[in-house]
Amino acid sequence: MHYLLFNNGIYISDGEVVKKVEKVPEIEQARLCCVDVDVMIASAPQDHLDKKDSLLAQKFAELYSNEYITISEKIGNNIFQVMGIKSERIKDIYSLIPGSGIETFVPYAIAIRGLMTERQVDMSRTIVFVDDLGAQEKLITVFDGLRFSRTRTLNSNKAEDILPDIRRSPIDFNKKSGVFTGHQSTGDLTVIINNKELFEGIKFLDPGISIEFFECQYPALEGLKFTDTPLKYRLPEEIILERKKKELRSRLRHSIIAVSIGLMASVFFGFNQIIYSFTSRDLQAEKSQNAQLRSALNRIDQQIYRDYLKKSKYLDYSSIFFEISGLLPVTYEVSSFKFSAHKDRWIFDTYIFAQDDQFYDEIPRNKILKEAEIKDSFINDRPGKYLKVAL
Amino acid sequence: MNKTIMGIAVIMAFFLIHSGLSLRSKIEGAKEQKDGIMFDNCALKNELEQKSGFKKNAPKTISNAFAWFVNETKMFETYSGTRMNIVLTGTKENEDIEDHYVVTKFRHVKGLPLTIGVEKYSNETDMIGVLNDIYLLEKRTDFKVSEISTDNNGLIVKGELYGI
Repeated sequence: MHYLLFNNGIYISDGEVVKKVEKVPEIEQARLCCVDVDVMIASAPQDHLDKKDSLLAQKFAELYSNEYITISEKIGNNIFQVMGIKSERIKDIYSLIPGSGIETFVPYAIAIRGLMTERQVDMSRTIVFVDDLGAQEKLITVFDGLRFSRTRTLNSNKAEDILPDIRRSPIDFNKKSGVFTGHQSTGDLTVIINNKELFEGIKFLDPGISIEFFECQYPALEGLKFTDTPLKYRLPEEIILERKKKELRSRLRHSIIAVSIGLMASVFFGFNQIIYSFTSRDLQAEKSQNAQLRSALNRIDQQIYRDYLKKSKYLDYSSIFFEISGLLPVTYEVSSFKFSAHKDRWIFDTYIFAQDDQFYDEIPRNKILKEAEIKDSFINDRPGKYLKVAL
Repeated sequence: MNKTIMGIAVIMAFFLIHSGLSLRSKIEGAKEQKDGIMFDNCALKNELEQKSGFKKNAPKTISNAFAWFVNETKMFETYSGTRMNIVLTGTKENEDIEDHYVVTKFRHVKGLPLTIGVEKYSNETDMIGVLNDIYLLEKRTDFKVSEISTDNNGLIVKGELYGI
């Protein structure tokens, strides 16, 4: 793994030795940081990632006129720190290192913050970090919690030149960030510097200032080792490509959902269609059988009705009448009678009267008259008997 | 584009689901109809089985059956000393008898309701003889008696003549 710092020059580290180079050698994997980063704090809806990114980019573009590539990190509820690098600068860097070899590509300040966090520096204070890159080049960055300022480059080795900038930096930072966040730093200012001579010089010039010496020659390169973040500046083409892929994925997802909905509906319809065809087939079979049975019954009814009539004509009326008349006492005479069919039975009923007004002998209940219904009657001014026999 | 695809899919799905649901109601209707026909088929099979016990004969047209019946009554009149007046129920004798056909318990077999007024004019003819004539008339024709009742000096015989 290699670590690279892009400022006016290129600093490269293999993890141990740091070199300033004009051209980046062939490397496989690298973590990068760049000093030329503009920063702003902006609000955006954190739950809508697509909207958030476009909104933050739009807000950044309103503040900075050039074409920028931005990345952002959440620093509060719906509050984001947007960090932009000019797209020209990104293209330059990507022309030196192939994109596939870049693991992370972050602002210089994030690398410094990573190192300070690693070394457990109290970040609750406002920190002015002065990084001596050598050759008179000093980088001044203000940190307040997760927030940080744009890194300023100062070319001087004298403490008296640097001190006013150190004092002015947090004021500028508070002016800018306060506007966006409505938050002012605590005023608890600490200067952290990695140059021993300057440390002594500043302390001499302003004995009241809170200043700490930071033992690290190239803190940004060191900090990259501990900067484990998915943040990475990418080429615009790559972003467009990814956006297209994202759109394609979204379209594909929607298509799959649409096809699934259609498929489910089709399955539902198809299933019912199959069931309906089976049910219709069964219904037709039953109808056909019904028609056949009815036809068969029509035929058989015409063929058997005469036999049915023959079998149902079982009653010999004269024999029945003769038998009943024979059982009645001789004193009776039959006045009227009736044979009537009731479903599958015959009923014989008659009115009988005593001849010449003789006495009414008792009707014997034997043979066919055993179960007969016998009642007294009074018809045409004549008392008599009513006789009913089920045959 | 996505919205269009989703919209088309939702509309298609709506129509397919709607069609599926109307198919479901058709299926329910068809099932109910099928159950009804199946029940009817069972009843018809049972009826067919019951009727298979009867002997099969060539059917007779109702006009032939009626003509045969009239001839038989005339023959009994000649030999028995009775007069048999055949009356089609609820009409005059010379009217079209087809108007009086009724449905019987046998499919495609018609019934002709008749009333015979039997008048006994010979003193030698007794009631038992007349009843025997009725019994024989019934046996020899496709006429089925439903009621015999006395009427002054004669009998009223009600019944139905069968034929196709």
